[in-house]
Amino acid sequence: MRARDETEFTEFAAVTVRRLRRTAYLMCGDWHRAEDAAQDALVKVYRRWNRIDRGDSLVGYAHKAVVTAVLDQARRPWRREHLDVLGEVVEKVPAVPDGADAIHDRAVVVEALAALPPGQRACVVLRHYADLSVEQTAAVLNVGTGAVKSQTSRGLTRLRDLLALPERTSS
Amino acid sequence: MSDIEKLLAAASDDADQPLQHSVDDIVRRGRRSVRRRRIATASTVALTAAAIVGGVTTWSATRPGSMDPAGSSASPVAAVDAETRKAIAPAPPVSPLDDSTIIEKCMVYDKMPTWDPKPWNKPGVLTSRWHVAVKTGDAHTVKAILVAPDRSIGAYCQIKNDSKAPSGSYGRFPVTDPSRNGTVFRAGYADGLNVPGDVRKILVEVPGEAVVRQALMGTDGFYTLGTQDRSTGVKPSGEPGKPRIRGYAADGSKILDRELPFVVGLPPIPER
Repeated sequence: MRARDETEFTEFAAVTVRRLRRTAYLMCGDWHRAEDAAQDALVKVYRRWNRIDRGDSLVGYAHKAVVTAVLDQARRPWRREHLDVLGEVVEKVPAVPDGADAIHDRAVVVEALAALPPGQRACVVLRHYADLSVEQTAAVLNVGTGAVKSQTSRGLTRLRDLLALPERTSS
Repeated sequence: MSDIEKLLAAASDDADQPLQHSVDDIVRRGRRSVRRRRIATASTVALTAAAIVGGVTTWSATRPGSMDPAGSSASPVAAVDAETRKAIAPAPPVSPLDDSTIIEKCMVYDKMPTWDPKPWNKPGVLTSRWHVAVKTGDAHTVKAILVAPDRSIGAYCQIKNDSKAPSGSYGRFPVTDPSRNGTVFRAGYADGLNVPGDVRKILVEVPGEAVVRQALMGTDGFYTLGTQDRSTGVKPSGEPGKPRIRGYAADGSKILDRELPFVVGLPPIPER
């Protein structure tokens, strides 16, 4: 890679690494794994830096890479076992009576996210945390926009159930 | 911002989670990854080129009409038949299967009942005491001639090891039948027996074929021209005719020359 390209990539990585790590953390619930996934994703971006569109699709590609990295981690046997354990714990998440303000422990939210099926979790995180559009999310997950909408809807409903949130509040 | 978005933002707050690795670490990993990919690509290209060069070299050294380097062949193969001036097609390959495996596979067919028991067929069932006189084929098809311990009986065995439709062709014949000496043990196949013991090379010439075939020599005077897959409808190479068989001693002198008394089908001419 040319020095100029490498400088541009370094700037991109510095700006996005934490965001990617946070996205990965919401997907997997483990900061170490999240950092590994973010690094893997950025290395993938580095390898394709000269061939990918540096516009809007760059962020989408990076998110796709990080989601793939998280899902790949989850497919490894020793990780799968860990996820199963996490799932059992999540089923015991206590109901929180008074809405979002009452939830201070972020671990509860992460555990509730972990209780969602991977597809729903990815849709909720990409749409409502990474702020990707339906189309971008569909491209990242390699599914149709209809699937993104339905998965997101089911994921949000399930998440609200787990956290005992009212059906819909906004500010 | 919705309640869920607030929750997710709060849950992912990493203020107390400093990065364990810097961006420079990521760039270094990226460089290493690109280097490894380039090395892998270069290695693949080099190996492919080597394989192509090796393949072309082997092909050009073994194709009919080529001149082999001295000592490159286990048998005294001449590139061109001095008598007919025709190119000599190479002998069929020796089967990679070991003898015990071949006998074990042929046992299945040997145990099948025969419609027409022969009085000369006395040595009993095929066992590991029989020996493989000659074998040819590849990983999927093997053809072998097996000889009983008392050398009175031989068995022809061709097996197609198809996982979906395995098939076999099997039959016994008397080795000592004088009417067949020096010719073929079975009409329809130009595989011979009882050629003189000092024959080291056999050439088979078939009317209508542009090349002369070299047979694969085994023990006990048996030879073969290769496997013949009749189940797939592959037609024998050349016009069916009465093959002329010539046998040569180790010093190149001709010690057998005769035309078979009947028309035979022949396996395809081997290519390498």
